[in-house]
Amino acid sequence: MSPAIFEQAGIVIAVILCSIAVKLIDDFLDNDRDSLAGCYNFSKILGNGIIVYGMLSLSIAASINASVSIPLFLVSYSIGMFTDFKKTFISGLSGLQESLLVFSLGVILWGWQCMLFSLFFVFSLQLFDDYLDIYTDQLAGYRNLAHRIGKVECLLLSILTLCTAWWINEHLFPAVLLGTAIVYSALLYYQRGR
Amino acid sequence: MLLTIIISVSTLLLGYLWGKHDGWVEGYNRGTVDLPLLLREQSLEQGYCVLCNEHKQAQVVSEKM
Repeated sequence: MSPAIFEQAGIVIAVILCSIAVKLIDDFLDNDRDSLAGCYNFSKILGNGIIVYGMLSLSIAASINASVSIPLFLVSYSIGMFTDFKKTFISGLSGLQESLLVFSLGVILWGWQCMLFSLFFVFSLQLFDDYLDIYTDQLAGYRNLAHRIGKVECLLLSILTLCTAWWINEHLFPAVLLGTAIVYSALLYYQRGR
Repeated sequence: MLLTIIISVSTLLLGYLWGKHDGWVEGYNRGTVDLPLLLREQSLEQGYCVLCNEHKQAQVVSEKM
């Protein structure tokens, strides 16, 4: 295997593991809400150990390719916090403050390009997910981005941010997109089947 | 190429938002003009007037007197 293919394969695997980590941690945090709404949650299978598997998955992802997986995780955290920007968390900071703090830390540690690429990519994914889940989230009593800004606006903004991410880092984009698409398709297949 | 797509999608999004906003304003204005007439028409068909709050039968009787 040539070094270039090996490097791209490494990025794909790191992104897959990082996405799994984000999904597991998200399920751990949203366990109560998903139970009330009757949505599928991996906590039902893994129990409280879900957070450990999330950490393990992120550690392996960081060991394979830290410069891709860590910025993606930090940005996922920032965007997750940003959706609850008025709420005060255990740190004593509001969601918005935590979000900005984590993003700034990421910029200091990993540089502008990595963080901006991750920001646009993860935001695009978030918008696309909200576009698909608009009715499910409405039933669960949650006003997602598609509901707030409009369905068509959400889809167009998702395409726009995805293209912007591609424009920021053309070398990284195909592998990151492939890794995310694999995890996303698997989750859709797994969750919609239930 | 990529920059062209970004500009195209941005233009599409802005155009959509602009059109939606204009449509909303126009619809609201049209509704504001049409609603009193529609309400009056429907109420008169049912025998009373929403503006003067007077029943048609009572009006006829008072005119005869």
